[in-house]
Amino acid sequence: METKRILTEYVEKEIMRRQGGVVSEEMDLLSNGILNSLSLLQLISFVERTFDRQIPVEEIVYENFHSVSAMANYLAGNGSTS
Amino acid sequence: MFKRLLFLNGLATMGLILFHSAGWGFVAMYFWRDRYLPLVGASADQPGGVAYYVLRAMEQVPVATIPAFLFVSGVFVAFTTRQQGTVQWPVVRRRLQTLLIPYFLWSALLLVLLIAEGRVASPARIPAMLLTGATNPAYYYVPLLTQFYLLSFWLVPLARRRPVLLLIVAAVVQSAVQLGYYLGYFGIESPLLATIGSTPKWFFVARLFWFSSGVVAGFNMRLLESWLHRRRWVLAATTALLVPVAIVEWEWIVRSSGEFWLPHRETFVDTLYSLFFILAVLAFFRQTTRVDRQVEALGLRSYGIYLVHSPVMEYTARAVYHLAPAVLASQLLLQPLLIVAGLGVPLAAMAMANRLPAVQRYYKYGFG
Repeated sequence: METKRILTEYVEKEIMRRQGGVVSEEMDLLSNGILNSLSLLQLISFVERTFDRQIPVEEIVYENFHSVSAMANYLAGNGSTS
Repeated sequence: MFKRLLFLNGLATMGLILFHSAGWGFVAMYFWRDRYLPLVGASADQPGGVAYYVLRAMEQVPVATIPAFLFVSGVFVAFTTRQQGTVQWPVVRRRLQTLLIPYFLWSALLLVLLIAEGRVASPARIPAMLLTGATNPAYYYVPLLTQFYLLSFWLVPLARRRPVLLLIVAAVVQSAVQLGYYLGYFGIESPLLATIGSTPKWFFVARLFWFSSGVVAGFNMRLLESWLHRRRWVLAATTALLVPVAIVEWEWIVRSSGEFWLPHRETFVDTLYSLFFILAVLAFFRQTTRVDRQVEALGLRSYGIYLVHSPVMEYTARAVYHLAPAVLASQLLLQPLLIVAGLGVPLAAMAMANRLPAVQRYYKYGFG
């Protein structure tokens, strides 16, 4: 739960730049236009810094990063690799 | 290595400013001489001097800017595809919305200014200007990128199943366009290649290789990572070596063409340099410096900077022309002024829009 809260807060405050709107855990951040090429990289940097882990490139896939829930699931060790 | 793309994007953003600053430097040097020569005397005659070669270097090093932007976009498109699927229309649609809404807003503003200055020949030209990015010399990039997002429905399956074939075809198509440029420079008659050589910058074939290589790289990051890391010093050395080679090549082209100056277009050596530059930047993914975060911060704001910097630099240069023409004689004064304006005004506008509660929610419409 804590992971999801941290991720949701970051997406709402930093990625969405206080433009309003709420992110739900299952919301697809890509098809909703919240993540683009650059904010995705920003988010990955944040995840690495905050959760103190290096994310291997083969694990940076849509399935692991398209929503807050998918990211939390991945960080819990249940992600997929390319 | 994936995160290094943000650093690459930041470098490309800095390159963008340098490239256009050098462009206005050349305008001052060649086309506005009548404004400063009477004021400062013929000793300030700049063509062929140190200032000329500094500007050429400022123009040459950032040649990889558009290739880098397209490469990063290609990697992103690869990321957005599910493991066994292709590009998803909702993702492309939202991406195009974030690109096109600010683009049309800024284009409309520039169009009003162009009309007010009497620089739009006919209202019938307006739709074509908007579709091809002709309201500003830098805006061709947005229609170009839009085409690549739409083409990604075909490019992504190819990049997955036939990556080598895609890269070869993309390289051949792009090289054919460049060959057409060369023939144009040297006045060689060939109706077919002359047609190919007149391919506009906004048309996807002129830059097909860069986006395609980004998509292929996106699907092969692990392989690329280990390959690049082992060769990082060779890549860096080759990149550095290609800068003077590209400068010499352009000098040769300009002198052979019989013109005293030519607007810069991507050459074969530039393509090679851009490729090595992108790979070299990515290859040093394990090295980080204290300035990385600042460069990445610029990378994050690249689209807003892209849309705003070029008109700001143009109006700054024109203001200098009218108000302080003697400054045009000194690139030491002119270049810092253009660079500070080109980078500072967009960043200040974005920071203001991000902080003022009344306009915060409209930020994405102005800067993406």
